[in-house]
Amino acid sequence: MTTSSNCAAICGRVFSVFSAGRFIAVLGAGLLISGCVQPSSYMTTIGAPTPGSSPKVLIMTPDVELSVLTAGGLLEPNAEWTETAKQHLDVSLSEVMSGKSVTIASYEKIADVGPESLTEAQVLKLHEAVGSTILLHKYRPNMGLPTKKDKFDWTLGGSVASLQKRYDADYVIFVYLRDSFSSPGRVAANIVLAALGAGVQGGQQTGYTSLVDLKTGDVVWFNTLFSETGDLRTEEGSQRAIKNLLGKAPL
Amino acid sequence: MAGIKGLTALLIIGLGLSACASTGDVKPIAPGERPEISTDEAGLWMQVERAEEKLRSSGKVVTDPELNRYVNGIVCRLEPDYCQDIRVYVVNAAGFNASMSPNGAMHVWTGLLLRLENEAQLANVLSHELAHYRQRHSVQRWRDIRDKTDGLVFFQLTTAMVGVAPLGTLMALATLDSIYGFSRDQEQEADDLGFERMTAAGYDPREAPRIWGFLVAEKEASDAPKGSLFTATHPQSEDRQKRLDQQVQELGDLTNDLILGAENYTAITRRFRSEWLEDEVKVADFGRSIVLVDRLLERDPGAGDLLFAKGELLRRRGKEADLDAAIEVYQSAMISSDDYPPEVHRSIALVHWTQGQNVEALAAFEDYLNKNPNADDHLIIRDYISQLK
Amino acid sequence: MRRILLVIPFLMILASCTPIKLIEPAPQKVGSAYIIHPTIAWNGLDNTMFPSISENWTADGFGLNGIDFWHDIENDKALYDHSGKEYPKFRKDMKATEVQELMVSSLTKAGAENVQATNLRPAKFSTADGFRFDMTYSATNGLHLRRMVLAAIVEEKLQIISYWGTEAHYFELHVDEVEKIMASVELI
Repeated sequence: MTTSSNCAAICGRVFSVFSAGRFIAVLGAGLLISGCVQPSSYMTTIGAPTPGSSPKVLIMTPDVELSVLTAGGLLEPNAEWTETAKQHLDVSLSEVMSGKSVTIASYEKIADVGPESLTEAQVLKLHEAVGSTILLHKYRPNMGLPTKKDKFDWTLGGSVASLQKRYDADYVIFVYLRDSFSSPGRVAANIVLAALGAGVQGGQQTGYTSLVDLKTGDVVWFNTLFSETGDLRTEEGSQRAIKNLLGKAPL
Repeated sequence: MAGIKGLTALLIIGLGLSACASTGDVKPIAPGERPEISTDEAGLWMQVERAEEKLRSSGKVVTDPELNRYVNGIVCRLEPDYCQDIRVYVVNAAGFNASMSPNGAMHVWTGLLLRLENEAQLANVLSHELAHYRQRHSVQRWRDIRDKTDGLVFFQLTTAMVGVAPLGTLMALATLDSIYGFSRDQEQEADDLGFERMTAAGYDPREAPRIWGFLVAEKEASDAPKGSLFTATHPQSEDRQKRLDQQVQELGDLTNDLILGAENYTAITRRFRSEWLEDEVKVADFGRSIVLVDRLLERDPGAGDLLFAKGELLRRRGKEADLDAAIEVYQSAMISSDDYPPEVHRSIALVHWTQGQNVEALAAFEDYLNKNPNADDHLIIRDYISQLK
Repeated sequence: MRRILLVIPFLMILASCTPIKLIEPAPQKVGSAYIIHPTIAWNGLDNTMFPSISENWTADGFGLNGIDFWHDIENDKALYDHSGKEYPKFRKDMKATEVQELMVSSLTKAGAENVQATNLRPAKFSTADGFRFDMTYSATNGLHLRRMVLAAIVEEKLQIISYWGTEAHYFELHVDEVEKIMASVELI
């Protein structure tokens, strides 16, 4: 199953091209197998965050995608569900954040492609790499970095300066969510499989969030979500997911 | 638990009736048409839109306005009705490749532009990709795959791009082009329709099969193991060439005023050539690249950048007669052109040195530094010189 | 009902071993070629789990930074060995310029994009005369990366110490430590 070219990435021999999304889905599945409890969140060990009164929080556009899980085990992206989920998420995020008495700003991509937008793109790509790294080394059993056993000190460093300047915010929150739902064919397949005593696979909801200090770039807090129920297409489902994901954010 | 085979058989029987028997024929997309949000096609568009956004911020896209106007202009000439729906991205990448996303984003690699000789050939490539778009091949392909896999319960493990080696999960749809590509039938349909359109737009149809001829020659000379990515993404080049040849024959006599556009094409792309050649050399597939450069030299004999590139390929391959051949080529670069890079001297020096001709090597390194005293590698060159003295 | 995924014997294998080991800040042998002296702890990837021609360490994660150690690379051998790809080979009569070209092509073949190498200059690799150069390139998703390389051909075999990291933040983080490692390498 392993191909050496995939190995190149994990070994970091060449370059960082992790796809955070695949990690989180895999992570969830892997945890199911090993019977682990839900992973905990992590807080930075660099220094306790000091939100101060009413910090300003930049919310990055959530990276969301909802799909159908087909009978054959493929994920078919669904634009309508994704659109609905995005709308609910905007509302849920505002609600959860207002419950924490922070002011929020919503991210808007720099329209023109130029040096500014390319620099900002690097920050986002770095975040993807850091997110994947955290998922791999902190959430994947047996893939921990020995030097970070009791440490959680990942950071985007000074690269966040342009974001900080643009929005004059204290923190930025990234949210990544995927949700999938069994197609009727999938449900039928599961029924047959279950009747035969074999394992089944249904839709999953997975996600992660990171809270980053915009002065230092430090990943102050990181949390993941994995569930086989829940539905981001509904208001309640969205609220529950965001509460799970961000409810305990140290703001 | 029940054996997987038995299970699978049961499932096929169980689901066979409910699985769609055929994808049906999707109708061509209309100009300005966007899929309705509740459709599977909208889901594909959503995914490739995301990929397109990433591409725009990746730094991989050539932003030169003249080149972009030129390429997009040909698209509009080929398909005036679809002009507004198509965005061509010229991507910095070595190798012959172009692809079409279902949402109208087309990628054309600079390695492809390096290989073409004229506007008619480019029109053929663009026309082929446009046919994929018009015929909605992406969504057709997706449905085909989805329906086929619906018959079987299996979970494909893949770490598509680059993930963590042993960790796989449900197969997620990445950009269709990168994972599945189009089917052989679809490629043929795109060839046929592309050929038709290109001809209708007034381009010389004889240029279409020639492109495949180029690739066949490169494939045969390639150092890549057969079944590598390059050969796998260009299957049946010979077949496609034959088929297009046939179609040219069937057109009968051709008029005299067919568009070739060689001067136009050269004028727009020429200034990028040494950069694209450098990218090609980096790939280190010497056999294939030498065939390419030789062909370009036939049309532009004595060109300094081409001769230098050829020299580099020979030098780096370094087989039996290659080193002597490299020196010859570098020297002809200096004779036939004023426009050769100072690195020619450095390369000549390296070859002489490898052959134990230290006196000549020393002289050539000194020539290099004289021409380029602030060369990026001047420190190592001075070190070479002191070693040789 | 117990829910299981059909598949992945590999996960089972992983469940019973830890492929990332602690590298203490103490003299470390690389193959039988040279000894290096890290002054901080690093994380090393176990080559038996993830076969590789080079030794691979990381400080902050294999997607963020790392040191690759190539040791005793012989004539006609490549730096990478990924199935299905033909990587360019080292030749024992190569000069520094050609080793730089080898590295650029190898990284390009492995999937790095827009690989550039600069500032090639003489340098010591322990007692041997070697060379250094710097590189920039991008991951397939466009993330910018930097790399610095110290290499030497010793008795016809190529030795390379190569440190890489994300241009944003993670490369800079351990440059000093790697300079120390490069300065204190001892050929065996």
